Amino acid sequence: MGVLIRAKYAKKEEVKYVGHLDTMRTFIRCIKRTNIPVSYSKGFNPRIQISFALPLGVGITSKSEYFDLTLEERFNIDMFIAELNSTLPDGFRIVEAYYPEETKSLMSLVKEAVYEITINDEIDFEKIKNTFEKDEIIIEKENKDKKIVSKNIKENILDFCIKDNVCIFHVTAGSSNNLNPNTIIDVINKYVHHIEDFEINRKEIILK
Amino acid sequence: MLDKLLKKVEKPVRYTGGEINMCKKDLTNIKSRIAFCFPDVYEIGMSHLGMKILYDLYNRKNDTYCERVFAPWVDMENLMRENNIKLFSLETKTPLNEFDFVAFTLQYEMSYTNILNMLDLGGVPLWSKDRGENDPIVIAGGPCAYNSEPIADFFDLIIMGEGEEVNIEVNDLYIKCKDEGKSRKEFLKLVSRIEGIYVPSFYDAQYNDDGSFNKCVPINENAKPIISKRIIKDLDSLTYPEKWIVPYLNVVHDRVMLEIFRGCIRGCRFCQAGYIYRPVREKSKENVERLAESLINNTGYEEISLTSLSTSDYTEFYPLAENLIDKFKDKNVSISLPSLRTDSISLKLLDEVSKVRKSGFTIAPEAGTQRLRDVINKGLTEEEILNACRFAFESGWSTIKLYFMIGLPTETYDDLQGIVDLANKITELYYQIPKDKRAKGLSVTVSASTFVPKPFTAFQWCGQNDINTIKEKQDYLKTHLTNKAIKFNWHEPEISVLEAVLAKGDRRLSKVIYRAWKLGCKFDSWGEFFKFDVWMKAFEDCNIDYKYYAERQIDLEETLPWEHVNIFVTKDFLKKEYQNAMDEKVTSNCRQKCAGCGASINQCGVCFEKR
Repeated sequence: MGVLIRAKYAKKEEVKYVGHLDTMRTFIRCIKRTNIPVSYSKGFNPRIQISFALPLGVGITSKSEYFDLTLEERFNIDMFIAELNSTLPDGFRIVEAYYPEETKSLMSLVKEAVYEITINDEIDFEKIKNTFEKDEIIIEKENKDKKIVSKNIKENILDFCIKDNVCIFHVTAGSSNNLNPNTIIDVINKYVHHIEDFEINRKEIILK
Repeated sequence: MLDKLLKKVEKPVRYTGGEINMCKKDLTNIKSRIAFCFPDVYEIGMSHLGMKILYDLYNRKNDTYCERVFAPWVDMENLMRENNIKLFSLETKTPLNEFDFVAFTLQYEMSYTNILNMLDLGGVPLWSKDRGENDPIVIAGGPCAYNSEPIADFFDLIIMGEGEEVNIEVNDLYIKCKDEGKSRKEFLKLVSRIEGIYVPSFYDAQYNDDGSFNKCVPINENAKPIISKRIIKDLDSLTYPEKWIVPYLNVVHDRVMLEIFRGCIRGCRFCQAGYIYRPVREKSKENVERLAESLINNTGYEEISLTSLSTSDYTEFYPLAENLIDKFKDKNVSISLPSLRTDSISLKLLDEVSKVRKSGFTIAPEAGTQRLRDVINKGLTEEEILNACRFAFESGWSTIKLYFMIGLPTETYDDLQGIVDLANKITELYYQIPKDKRAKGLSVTVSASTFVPKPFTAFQWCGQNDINTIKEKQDYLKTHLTNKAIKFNWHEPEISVLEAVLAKGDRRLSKVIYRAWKLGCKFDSWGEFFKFDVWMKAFEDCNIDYKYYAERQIDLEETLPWEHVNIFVTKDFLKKEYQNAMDEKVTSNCRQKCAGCGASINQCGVCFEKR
């Protein structure tokens, strides 16, 4: 059956434009470049068994990404981290790894996330505060059928704070009730000011 | 600033670099910086083996740093122009005009306007004559270098032949000249003495009163009258890139490409590669096996492809393929074997490696009748073609792709009917196999490209069919390939016509290329960007008739614009091959019997194999 190891990694500035699929492929190839005893799926087309939590949008950096990888046998965690970090391109870095106790899928554990949005445009941050303190934050979004629908995202925002030009949003995340950080940008663009010079960083994915 | 642009473009990773195995260097000790430019987008350029080889060779040197540059896609180019950002290298984001060398690889003629566009975007003067001491040396190499006359005026020097040794010689000389404070002109004089180096400004192309080409003569005492291509006699003596860059993006050839030999023994008369890479030289089986292992370990790739012009002609092909399949079985690495012949051993191997029948079974008869296949020296009989197809159907393929050329010398409508008949016979073969023993859903694709006469081939004298003739021939196939299981693919002939013009052109075409670029032509090999009418306007503006270059049957006694280049295959041999073609006579392959092409002067490879 193999044993599951969970790794937390950072995706920094240098690689923030690497898309989700390309990121997955990079990890798979880097794992193959190491001596880590990975387990392959059985069958006609054996594959490394790896799954990633919550895809990260192109252009966004992160301090907290996760993947689960099935190993053939337990492998020393420090060696796991060291081996993988020596082969990953600059910008990707494993920060932590452990053998999780639960057996639920990684994606189903994702419940919340924290985003840090740094805005370099000259705007009124007080206005951002006011906007997100309102009871209703309505934004138009395209749904799966390409129809424009209005949505109140108030309940997705669990908490937020603003320090200087950095806005920190604690939001719901996961497969069922996810708030895309770009939606926060849409809200700012709509209600505050059109911003161009900004950075989004995922500070944390909270697994529950 | 760049970051702002990247937020707005499609596939920003095309411009960011930083991939696995990218070379990073401290610039303080670097004496020569090379921008290796591929005149197409990242995904195409990163599939090119030559770039990986030279990138590795240059970067093994401590005093040299070679970086990559690709043509930005149109969205990025527009943003770069709006924001005054010069074309830059992926490794250090350095603008093109700050490099010592700007080096282009000439892989196909239709990339020429992209070269001008990249130089322009990089702040480098387009014409060699306009460059000064502070500008980079603009160089080129690759298969189109052999007749680079149409773009010669844009380059300071051009490298003929295989680049592994000569690139390093040129670079070493450059560093020496730089250390000694020599001028650009002095460097060019010295470099033009190196075997394989062509400095176009040291030659004068002359024409007769009737406009035909007369000769290309040296006008500088350092320039050689004849430039001979460089070849590597012993491929095992070369270092091969073992740590190559693994792109983030899915590129065209996203796998390990392992070269097993250069050249081709076959001698198809239309094929430029078959002549310019002579003689055939192989890498040893042991070397290939060692490299395969090392490359897989260093890249993490899941597929390895043995590359050459005709893979199953490798002398130890079967043992090599078997060993590799064995070696990688447990590592879940698959082996792909492109360019196989249709012999039984190859087919058996193909069956072994193709566990998944997702891709089609491709076969290239090139011509529809035996007569025309003999004219082009394809050396493939109808029986062999049908046997291979029967094998494919019996082994579980139901998709067959057939490649043909139309407009080949001496072609008649009988030959076109031959294409139709052959395709029909193949569909009949499928239905002869019992239902329970064949895969469902027969699909036979007939692709017909337009013949492009190329320099340094037996057909270099041949005129190309005019556009209407080609269209009529395509129409014939469209109306006669009526079987529902057969799909017919063709291309608009205009692009092939321009390819012929640029392939066989002389120096007078440089102003047409410049004009076409000025009028907005770029990415000409991309159907959606190719503007034939704009090219026609460029020819008109320059008062040049494109038909003179594409359609004219050149007299065998005429001097050709590329005769100052020696590929070691003699003009006499090509004439003989032309005559054999007209007589429908087949020439034996290099292993059967030496045909005396001239390449044996190099004293290596297949010419000296024991038979």
